[in-house]
Amino acid sequence: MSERTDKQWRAELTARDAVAISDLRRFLVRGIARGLGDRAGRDLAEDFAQEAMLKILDNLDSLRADGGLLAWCLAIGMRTAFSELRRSRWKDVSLDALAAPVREQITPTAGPERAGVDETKQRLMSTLRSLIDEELTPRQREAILAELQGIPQVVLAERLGVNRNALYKLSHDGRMKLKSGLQRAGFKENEVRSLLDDAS
Amino acid sequence: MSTTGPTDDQLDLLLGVLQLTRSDEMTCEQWLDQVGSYLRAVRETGPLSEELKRIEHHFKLCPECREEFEAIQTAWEEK
Ligand SMILES: [Zn+2]
Repeated sequence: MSERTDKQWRAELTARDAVAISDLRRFLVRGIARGLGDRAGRDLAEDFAQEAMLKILDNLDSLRADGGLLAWCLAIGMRTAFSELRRSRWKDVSLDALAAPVREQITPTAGPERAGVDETKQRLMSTLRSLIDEELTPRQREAILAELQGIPQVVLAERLGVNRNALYKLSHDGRMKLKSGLQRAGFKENEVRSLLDDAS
Repeated sequence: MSTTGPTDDQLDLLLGVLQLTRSDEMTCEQWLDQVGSYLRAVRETGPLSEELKRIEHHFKLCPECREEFEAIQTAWEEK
């Protein structure tokens, strides 16, 4: 099946050629199973491949895939698989109950030489908290805080009623606001970096 | 979703992400179209074009896409 050029794949899949569809499905099942390793069995890989096939056939027209059609198909297959796995891993978790546990804050024992650094870091953290509260829209705040809690994008996107791309943009706009807010408050990028390095 | 504010650990994580944040980031969908070129470039370990560097940058910011790409890479190399 690898003898087909992208052009041939595209023509045959567009014509819903049964052999091409069957070849592609086999390629996807094998690829997804290998990519997932022990995260899922063969049966699931077949389900994911089936679901990915529908997306691939639906999106053939708008596809650019300048780097190769099979690689793109595999990427769609893998995205489908991971989205399903992440969704099912989180299906019984109530997001409303996910309020971040207020962890005990461990402050390094401060010697006199650390005092200045710690003070600047504290000021940075409190500025960031204020920016999150005051500069972000409620949806930007929800997106960014949920990401920090490790909630998968597919779960969060469904919760917010947007697709993954729109969610990324939502969070990106929020991050840009926070970044420029820190700069406006006088925190230079290299200063933030050295404070982070110092903490690690 | 969350009524309490972020913990200090989460703010540290966010500060790290903000360091990488820039206006021309690629989204989770955009790199899919060029995954074949990126796979090839990574395998050949040559210098990346500006466009492929944007994919690399996205993976630094987006753990889910990075996880997906690693799985794609595994499958692709064994195909
Ligand atoms: Zn992503």
